[in-house]
Amino acid sequence: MNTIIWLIVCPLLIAFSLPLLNLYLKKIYKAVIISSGFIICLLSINLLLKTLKSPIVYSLGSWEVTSGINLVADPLTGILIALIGLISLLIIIYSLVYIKENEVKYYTLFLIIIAGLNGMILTGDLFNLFVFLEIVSLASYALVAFRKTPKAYEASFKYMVIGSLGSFFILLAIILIYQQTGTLNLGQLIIEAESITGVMKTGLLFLLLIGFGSKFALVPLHTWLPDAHPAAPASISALLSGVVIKAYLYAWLRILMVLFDLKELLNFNLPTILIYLGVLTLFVGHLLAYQQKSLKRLLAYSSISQIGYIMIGIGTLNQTGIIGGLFHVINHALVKVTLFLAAGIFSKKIKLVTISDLKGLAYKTPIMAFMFTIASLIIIGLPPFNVFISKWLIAKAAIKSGFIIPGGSILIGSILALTYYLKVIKLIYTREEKASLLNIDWKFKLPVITLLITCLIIGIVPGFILNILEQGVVYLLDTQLYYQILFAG
Amino acid sequence: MLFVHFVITVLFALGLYTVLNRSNLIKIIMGINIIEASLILLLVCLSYKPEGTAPILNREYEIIVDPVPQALALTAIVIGASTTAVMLFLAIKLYKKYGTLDVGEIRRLRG
Repeated sequence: MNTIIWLIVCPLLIAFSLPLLNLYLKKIYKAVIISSGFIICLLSINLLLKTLKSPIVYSLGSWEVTSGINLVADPLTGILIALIGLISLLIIIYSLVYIKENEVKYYTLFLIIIAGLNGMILTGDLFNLFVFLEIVSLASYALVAFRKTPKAYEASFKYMVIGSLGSFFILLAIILIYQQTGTLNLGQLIIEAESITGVMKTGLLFLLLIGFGSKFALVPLHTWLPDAHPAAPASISALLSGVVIKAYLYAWLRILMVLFDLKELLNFNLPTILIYLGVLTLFVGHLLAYQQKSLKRLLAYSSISQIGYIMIGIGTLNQTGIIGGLFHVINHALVKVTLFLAAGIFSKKIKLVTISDLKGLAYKTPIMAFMFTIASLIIIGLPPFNVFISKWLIAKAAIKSGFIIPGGSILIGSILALTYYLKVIKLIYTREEKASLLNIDWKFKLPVITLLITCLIIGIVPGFILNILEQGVVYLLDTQLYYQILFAG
Repeated sequence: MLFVHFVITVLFALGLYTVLNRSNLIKIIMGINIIEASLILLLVCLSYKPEGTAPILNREYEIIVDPVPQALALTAIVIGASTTAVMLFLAIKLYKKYGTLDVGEIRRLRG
């Protein structure tokens, strides 16, 4: 059995068979959902272990590599897929108790997102990437409107307008690439990209930056995120903030590396543009997060600022910086999912409208409040935890390439994060008059605790993940190796 | 060919202008559809060759049109149709809730 194709087929198959199961076999459909979560998680870990030995290529429909659609897995895609597998399993467990209405629609859309994400990361074909990107986008627009409140409809519409414009810019870039090179295969593009003229290359660079930037909330294009992410159910906010925007970012990075040589990118002065966009994103995210009254909006703005850190890391375009950026992608995904899931538990158990409603929570749900506190300490970037290591790598890479101000702004950003997360923590630990213990289901607790333990383990032994990233980044930076996966294998 | 490219550019700019400058939800959706139409036109224009025939490979032809952009155009049309469907659904729901399609008015009513 070939793991790599089943990662896309399995969630799609289950997603579209769920409505049927709900009609005829109502008793087993929950069992099907849980087992599908486990299957996806196991398949993705299996793929990671395989890619660590050697990269894999799979041609759909046994066409030749040059004329068909290929799926490519190197260690970097392997670890991202494993991350998606783990998080989707935990979110499915969480949703079993969190989602009470329209369950079938919810799980169908959720599994479509997972299939789309896996496809977007694994694909070796430019247009196939666009199709999967649109699958993910459409499913996430629908899930943002899942609550059926006017606010959710509005947020979803806003997300859709900006998201569609972004998609069109990406599509335009893809069409122009095809016009110039005559191929859509990522491997062949590495060779053919030399024939693109200089003016066109600059144009493509900006089309891709605008298109994908509006998808992963780069600052001038971020306005949809603080509405869309809080409007969705907490489990979906976790998925959107933690994984979906990171997958768009990865897709952008891959296309960028395939189309352009590193020297060319340095000639365009791209590091300066990306790093200062990253600094802007970081400060806008942090400063707006500070003013928020709603906990989920605060977390959403915090996500924007973390995109800023990742952009600074990737913008240096050297190995340390990109490893730091991708390590931050993984760490932030784990931590932000924890925070959103914990916030979802709070809003389910108490009437949570503004942050001040959190007052005295530590005396009602001591364990969850403690978990939330640890998670916020992690995301601030305090020393013994994993986010500190990735921020340290990013700052080191930025200063090494001569960007002193961005390196310093990482420290200032962390202090800003400290101020607003401490505000929340202080409220949680303020004693209130009447405090009775709330009863929390183990299905709520298990995902949060598992994710937090994963974070702590990565914080203690980061070498394990960093090793895999180091192996993977080689294929990202040295495109000749990527070409060899496809054609010399 | 130059004229077609000119038309595509005008359509793209027109759609972008409509999306950015109109406050009616339906007009925003129309703008997005205009942009999409311009991109599909670009795809079709890309594959066109004078006097080319359909790419059926069991007979021998001198000139055939490029089949890949046409396949891409079909996919893009499908994606565009589903996007439009979801957007129209949201517009209907917003109209039912607020009784208006004006974006500024909706924002004011929400408060």
